[in-house]
Amino acid sequence: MTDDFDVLGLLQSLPLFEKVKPGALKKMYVDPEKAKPGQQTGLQDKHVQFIVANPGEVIVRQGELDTEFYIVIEGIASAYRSEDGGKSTLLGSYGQNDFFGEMSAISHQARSATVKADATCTLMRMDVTLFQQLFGDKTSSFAKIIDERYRERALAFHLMTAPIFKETSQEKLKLVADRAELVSYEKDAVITVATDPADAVFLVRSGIIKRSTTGSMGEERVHDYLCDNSSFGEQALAGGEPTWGYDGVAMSRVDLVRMPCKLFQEVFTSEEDKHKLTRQVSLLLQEEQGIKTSLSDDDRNELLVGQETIKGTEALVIDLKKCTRCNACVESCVSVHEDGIPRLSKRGIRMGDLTLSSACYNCKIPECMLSCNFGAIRRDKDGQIHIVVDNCTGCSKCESGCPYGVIRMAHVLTPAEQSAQQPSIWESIPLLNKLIKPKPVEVMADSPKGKPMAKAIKCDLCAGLPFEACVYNCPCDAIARRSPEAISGIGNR
Amino acid sequence: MNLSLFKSVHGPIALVICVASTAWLIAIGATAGTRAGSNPTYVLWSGWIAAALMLVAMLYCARKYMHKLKYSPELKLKVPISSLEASEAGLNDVRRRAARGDFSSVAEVNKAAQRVVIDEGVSQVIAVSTRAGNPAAGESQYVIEVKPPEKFGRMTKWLHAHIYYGLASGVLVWLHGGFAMTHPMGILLNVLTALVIITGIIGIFLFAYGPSWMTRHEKDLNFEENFVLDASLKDKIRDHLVAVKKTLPDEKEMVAALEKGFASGNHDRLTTVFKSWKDAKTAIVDLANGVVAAVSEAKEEAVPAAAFASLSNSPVLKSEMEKAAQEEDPKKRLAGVKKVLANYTKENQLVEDAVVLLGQRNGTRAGLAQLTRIKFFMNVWRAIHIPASLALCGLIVLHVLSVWWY
Repeated sequence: MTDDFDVLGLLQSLPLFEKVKPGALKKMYVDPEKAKPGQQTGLQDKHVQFIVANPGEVIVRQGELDTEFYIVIEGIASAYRSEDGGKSTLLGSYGQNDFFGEMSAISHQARSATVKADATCTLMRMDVTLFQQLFGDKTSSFAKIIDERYRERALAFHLMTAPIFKETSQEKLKLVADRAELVSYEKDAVITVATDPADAVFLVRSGIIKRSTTGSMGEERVHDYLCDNSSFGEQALAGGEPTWGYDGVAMSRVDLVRMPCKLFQEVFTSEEDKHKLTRQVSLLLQEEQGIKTSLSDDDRNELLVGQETIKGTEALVIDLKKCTRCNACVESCVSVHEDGIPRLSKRGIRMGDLTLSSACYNCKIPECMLSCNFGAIRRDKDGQIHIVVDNCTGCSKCESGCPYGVIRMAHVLTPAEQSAQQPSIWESIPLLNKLIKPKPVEVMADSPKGKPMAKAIKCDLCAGLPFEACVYNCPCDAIARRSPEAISGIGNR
Repeated sequence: MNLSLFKSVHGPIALVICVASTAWLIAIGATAGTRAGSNPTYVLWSGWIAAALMLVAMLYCARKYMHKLKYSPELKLKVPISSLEASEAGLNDVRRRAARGDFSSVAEVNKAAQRVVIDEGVSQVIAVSTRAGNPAAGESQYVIEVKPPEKFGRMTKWLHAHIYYGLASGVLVWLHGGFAMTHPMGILLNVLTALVIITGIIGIFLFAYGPSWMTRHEKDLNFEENFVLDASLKDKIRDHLVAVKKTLPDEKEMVAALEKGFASGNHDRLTTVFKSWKDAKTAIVDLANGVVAAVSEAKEEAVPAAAFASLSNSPVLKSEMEKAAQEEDPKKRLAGVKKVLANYTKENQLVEDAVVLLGQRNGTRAGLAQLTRIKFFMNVWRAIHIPASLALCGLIVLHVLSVWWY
């Protein structure tokens, strides 16, 4: 791409952006003549970049966790899916104005296929933050085209993940995909009411749904959280006049595939199909009953579910029966960060003698990343969440978005401030340091208002270093990384 | 109890060193530390082994402070995140090729995985190992595992070495010198060694039992959270005090008591002052309430101005009541008294809240003080252990030099 390339013209010519709000286009490109003072003009590379892929080059790889969305500007790329036996299947090819990567950008799940450039390709790469904003406006051409394409290309495959369709043929799934409704709910919207009749089966495309009932004392009892690829409402197919039995509330913006009972009557007409479906439904309902029982009996599990820990993939656990409170973990965290700010905080969820410290859980659905409008939080291919400090504007949305209080706002020091704050060798010696008064640090102003700007910080798992400093430097073996499942013995459905 | 402090391979090694040294002493028929019965070879070797063990024990401290002061060599091994991502992509590729059947053994898969991390220049921060998977448990045929190499070993292992080799050095010092108190240098060396070993043993047990002890006293909030709660209560009280000062501009005694209570945390004294302040105010408020009740039953005009005037005799609320009582219009007079009463309720609530907050902070500070005492007790042995160890090191150098010289 050359510098004089007409980006705005290109964006306006793409069908995806035909009917999007002008504000959304400004997130990608700011006209130099209409820019506000101090605003970055031209292509907003925080959100959108143009990249070139050479023939044979892998653009996205199956199983990886990056969430960028791609539009083919020039060239051809093809998608391949590797099966368990190592067999690779060609799924399709993408030419000019085609797009791919929308499934991962919507659901934050691992890539379902590998896309390789067949010829030299020019691609537009969009970050997940902007993608979610554009996709959230259901009246825009962007959301409509993505939904149409999803129904056409992916819905039948997606339905295969629902347990009730375990024994359903591809043809039938295609019929279900054609008739299913794509619906969305905003955060806190009520999706199901416990006493209402269950009239449809749902498959979660993206977002989180909390299922709960009301206890005898009127208290809320959380059963579980449903994430992407979870299904619910199968009792609607069990016969009789079933009710939902639980309140379902959207914990974030939720995209669902709704399949009314009528749809099943239309598609599953033969006795054999009906029998297969009924068998799967009854198996599933039995399994669900088992989950409910075990959860209500176990306070620890309820605490974990209630605290949304289940969304995380790993937790930093401090065993309080081993921890001597020597603070070596925090000090070692300070040592490995050039700005001298510890990412570790020993506060967190207390579970008996364990503290689930507020270190990053690298959530399957990273709320922080979704709440950042500035492309300052990204997830790498291995699922680790990183903060791009240069993009951070200090808006603190990620801080309030993180369910674990992992992200904090702190003034990240400039190199000059760092060298001023670095203690001398004498100041590092115990007792002697009490006698030496440290030099006051002059904090630079980097916000437009001339005040020091706080930026988002969080545990980065000591990325790039051969250890996790806190775990490595604990002399008493009191701190370790564990999955929530390992702590509680529960997992996502 | 933290039993992991005792589970280490260094324990048996240290024990073997002690047993072997003792066996050697018995075998040569010498008596520990006596010059007359000493064997020069044994004395020399036991001395060097003791010094070596002490050196190993001291390496733990060096390691700890090297990291703290950012001199740890591992910090120089840092690689860019882009390289890590590239290696992750490469390893995923190897996994796919393994699933496709491109490799015939674990060694082949491991070789390919090792090649990826070497090619991407991240071998110093990623340790790759491969094992045969268990397909029945849902694993692939070959499982590639990635871990941080932790080349210099975790601090836990260094602490184990510190504990066990430190204890062993004490035994070797005894075998070497036999606690001979014949020379000032010998006395100092023996006393310091004993001091270091005894305080160390106390430290081991405090570190093993102390955390459970502290956890029991922490209840719901840990040490750090207690500090945060204390700071938050401090801020709340400060805000409250500003509001109280605005509401009670003339009530100097109460404001002073609050400020003093805030500064010193003297909740009992503050409660007493608050009670007497409230009692004094209640008397006039009761009287005012009586007047208001009388007015409500009769017509406002029927209540003589003298009844209102009696309110202004009280030392507290005097100025406000005087002002209200002097109002000529009966309706305004009553409204004035009601306003004073309403203000009193508001200020009363504010002061009451401030006292409650101070009480909460007192509770938190008492808990913190207890935790601080426990923490102090858990660490007080170090006040002897560390200086004694430093002095012992200096003396050992002097001892070695003097033996060499003479």
